[in-house]
Amino acid sequence: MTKGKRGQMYDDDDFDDGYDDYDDDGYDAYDDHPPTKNAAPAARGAGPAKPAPQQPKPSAAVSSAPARSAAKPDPAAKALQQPAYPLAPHLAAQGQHKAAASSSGNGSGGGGAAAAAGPFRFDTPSPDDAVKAAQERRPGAAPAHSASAPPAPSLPQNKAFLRPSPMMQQQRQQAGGSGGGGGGGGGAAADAAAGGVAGLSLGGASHGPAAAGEGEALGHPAAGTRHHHAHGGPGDQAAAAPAPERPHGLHTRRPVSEYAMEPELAREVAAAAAAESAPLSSPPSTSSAAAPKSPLHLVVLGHVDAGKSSLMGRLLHELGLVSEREAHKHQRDAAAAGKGSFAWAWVLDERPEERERGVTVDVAMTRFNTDRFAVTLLDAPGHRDFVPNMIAGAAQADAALLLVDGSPGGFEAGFSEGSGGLHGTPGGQTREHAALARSLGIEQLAVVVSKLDTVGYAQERFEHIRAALLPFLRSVGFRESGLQWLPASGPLGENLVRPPADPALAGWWRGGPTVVGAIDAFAPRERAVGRPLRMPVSDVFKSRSGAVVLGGKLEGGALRPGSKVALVPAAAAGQLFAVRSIEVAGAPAHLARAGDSCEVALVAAHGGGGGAALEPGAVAAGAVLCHPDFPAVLVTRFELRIVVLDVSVPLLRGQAVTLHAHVAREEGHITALSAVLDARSGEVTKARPRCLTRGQTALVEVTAARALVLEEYSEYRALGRVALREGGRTLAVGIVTRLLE
Amino acid sequence: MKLLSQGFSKGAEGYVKLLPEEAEDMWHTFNLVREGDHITATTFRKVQVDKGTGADTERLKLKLTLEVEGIEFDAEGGVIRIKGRNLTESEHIKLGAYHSAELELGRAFTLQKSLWDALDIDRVRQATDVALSADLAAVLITEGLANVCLVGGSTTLVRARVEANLPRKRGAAALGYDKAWSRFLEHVFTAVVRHVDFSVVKCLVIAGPGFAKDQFKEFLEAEAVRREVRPLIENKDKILLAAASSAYKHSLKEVLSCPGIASRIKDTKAAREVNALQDFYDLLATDSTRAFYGPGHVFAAAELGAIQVLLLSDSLFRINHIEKRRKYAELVEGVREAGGEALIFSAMHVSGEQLNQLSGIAAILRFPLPELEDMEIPADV
Repeated sequence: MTKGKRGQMYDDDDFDDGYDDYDDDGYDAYDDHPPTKNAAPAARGAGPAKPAPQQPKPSAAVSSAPARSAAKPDPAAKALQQPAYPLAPHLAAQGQHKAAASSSGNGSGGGGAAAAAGPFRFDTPSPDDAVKAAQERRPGAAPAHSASAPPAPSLPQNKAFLRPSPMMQQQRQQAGGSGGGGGGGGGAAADAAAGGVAGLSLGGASHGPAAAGEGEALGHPAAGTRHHHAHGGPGDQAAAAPAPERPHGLHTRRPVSEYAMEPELAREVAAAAAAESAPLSSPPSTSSAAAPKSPLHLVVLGHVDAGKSSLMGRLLHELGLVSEREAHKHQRDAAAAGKGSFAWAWVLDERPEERERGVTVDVAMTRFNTDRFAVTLLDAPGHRDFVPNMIAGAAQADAALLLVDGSPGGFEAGFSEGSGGLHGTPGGQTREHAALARSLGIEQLAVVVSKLDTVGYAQERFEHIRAALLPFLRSVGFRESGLQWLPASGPLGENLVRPPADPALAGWWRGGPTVVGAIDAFAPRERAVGRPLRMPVSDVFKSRSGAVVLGGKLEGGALRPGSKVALVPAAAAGQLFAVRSIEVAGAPAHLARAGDSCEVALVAAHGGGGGAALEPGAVAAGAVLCHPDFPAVLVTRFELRIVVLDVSVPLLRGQAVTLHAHVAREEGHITALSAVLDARSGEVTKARPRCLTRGQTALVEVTAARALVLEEYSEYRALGRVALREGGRTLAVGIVTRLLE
Repeated sequence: MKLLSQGFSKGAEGYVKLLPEEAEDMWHTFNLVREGDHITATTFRKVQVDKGTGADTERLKLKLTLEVEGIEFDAEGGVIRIKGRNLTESEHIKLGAYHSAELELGRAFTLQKSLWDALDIDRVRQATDVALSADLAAVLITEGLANVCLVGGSTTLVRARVEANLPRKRGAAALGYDKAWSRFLEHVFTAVVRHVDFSVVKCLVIAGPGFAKDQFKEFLEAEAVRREVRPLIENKDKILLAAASSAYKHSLKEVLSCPGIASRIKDTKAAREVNALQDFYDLLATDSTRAFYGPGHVFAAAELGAIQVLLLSDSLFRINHIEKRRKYAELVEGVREAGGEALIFSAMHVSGEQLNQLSGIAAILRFPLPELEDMEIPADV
């Protein structure tokens, strides 16, 4: 449907290298000059004799002609560099390496060169360690593709490792700048290098403390932070940020690209990233249970009664999270209620009406650990009336399990196409869920064929389902490399944690992945820590101590106790709150980073607009917790680039829709059909069309009945995806291209 | 609306005296009164009275005729404010002086027009026909959101919107859910008791996705007995359940077209409009050469005598441009004379809102006009 160039709805690189996702759009601003200007790298390339052109003064604004300013030698900076040598000789040596690497990256502009040079570009304690760590890392899960290296995105890493000395920082900036400036391929190169850093410095956990110690010794905090801010500061970035394009009316807020993380927070984030990546770089067997694992938000999708809740209930039991006693209790109670087959589902379906009707209503959230991940499991409802709940769940997910009923007729019911009309039957939820999941940003999908026991675990059935599903999944934008296929049975516990025991299944599914194996095979999502805080609030309640607690998944930035935050929409304008405590994955934490789902207890901040206590009723799901200096904005009118799904009736101007974006939902209507686009090239094929038919890609303008928080897709992916539904079916899915009002 | 007296004929000068009785009548009035009309109504005016002890103001009730210059409508309050120049000789107000009058429920007024066209006559007939004013109350409910709506012959009013924040089912808040849920139901219940008058409405429909509607119905019945809310207990059989995909107002059209409800409110304007618009959409999907929208295309189709069903929004007629209005009136008459059907949608209904977004005018044709589809016609009338 829409695979193509970047800037399209589904980027080609969406899946392969999830790590440089942000590189093409937002992070450009962190480079010292806009990468689109091809003249800049050329100018740099012309002077390769200068290995590391010094940046004038950290605090000085970079002119709009970066090549010139960057090439200008600056004695002051050099002088600054000198005293650093005696203090940290090997660090300085690293710096030299780095400079060399950056120049080579410049010259070739090729990703390969930069990736190869990567290890030397950064401040690892010693080159030997770096090489060793790199070797250790290679046999791991990470593919040769350098961009898929396990650690978090480049920017926060940059920041963290910048700290040891100001001199280093400058060089880092140069390196980053030149990498980013190397044209289209340069971006990936810089990123790959950044990935290398994290992997290396974190890989050798043994030398971690030493580095940290030096950092403390060297890093005169004032100097460090000063430089740091200069890099990300307004003066610097104003020139680079594409400020003029900002729509009128919203432009009062500062561009996200100006954001620089508070130093203490940045340090903690870096430390956490280090701790997290450590077990990844060593073989999984040695990773201790205590080591923090990457979070993975996993949503379970599928047609109603495919067995989603049952499978997950049994899985939790197999993993030892549901005790034998509890399992027995459920079995007894379910049998007593005449719903024996729902016993496992009762683990997740706790509400009485869910149990009574045997249907999941709301997304149940539980957590469990696998070898690689701390999994947050979101068990989505399959019934079509609860698709809105499913959307809220899937919007938080990094990967999905799609359950397909393998029993005779079961798959067909879930996969049927809908019929038209106001009272026509909508299609099976297998279709809708898969299409929605893809549009909500899920790229990795494991298709689990359940209930195969009803056909004697016939392999033909499994293959038949795969053959029928694959073309469809491809058509909605999944790539084959992002798909896994496996059979499993929830109630019988086949192929969940251990390979199947039933000979009929084990016969042909020898060595295939189990459900847990499939989960472990997912790639973790990068953390968008480098952006200002955003957390869509999905849950609000009062804790026992009386504080108001907001639950949700961090989509950008990081939080720690004491952080000041703002809430949009706010009960009182300008009111600030302070974070009192944080729980990540159900346990108290001192830090939450983008990608974590957490619960944040808030208190009114002193000196922040009245200081009135927050009432749970004043916050609605769909509000967004954000950075006070970079608040989210409420919009009523915005431009979307949509893909029209299987609609029975063409979309016209004025179509009333229910908007679903992250956890927010609102009614609204399409106010203008701006253009039909070519799905591949993104070019306008027809301006101002009369109507939109299925399968078309188009630019439309949508007006919401009441304002909601949205962000442009290029800035926050999770907050920039929208699904348009009406009459119990999904009409279109899209991304926010512009905020208008 | 009560018709007290009338004296008009099509295409001529004339008057009508009306007594608005319910909120919907104000909507009809709003659509009937235009700038340039003369309206006679009782109104209040503050007058300076010199009693010798200095100037004093007094509020006097006067019967004035105004030449209308501006009309404002408050749908929820059911009040029309008219601004105009005085045409009545009076000791308290000069001829030609500006005055604002409010038209309210239960207060008669006389409307004089220099030219009555087919649309106005239609409107008066519609407004005064008792059989047409069928009312339906609908509670659109889902977890955390409910809209209490009153659907009249030509208006849909959202009387109450209840929103609540329900904690998710997991974690420490699992207990808080039940509390929040029952509080939410209670709020909706209160709204229903306050806004739904069973002497007026034909039925109360509880609609929404999932099980929230069933739970609310149970709650409603139990609470009605517990609190002894007589109207609810007595009209228990008028309470119906229906499916809707969301609890937003635009889902009302699903409710109105669902067979069980449609038979109860058969022939109400709202239901007919929903169906006509749906037909239009369906045709657009299956045979786009027979369905057109926008004034340019529709007028072109009318010239060819191709219009089977004309869908027009009444917001198009509230224009003060005589020439434009005449054109629309002629269009409606032309379609009816040719044996077609002309449906005037109320902009206060969900379907009318949607039609308004489609430029307010659409048509289903008798025969396909493929050449019209490719034509670029300026949208202006």
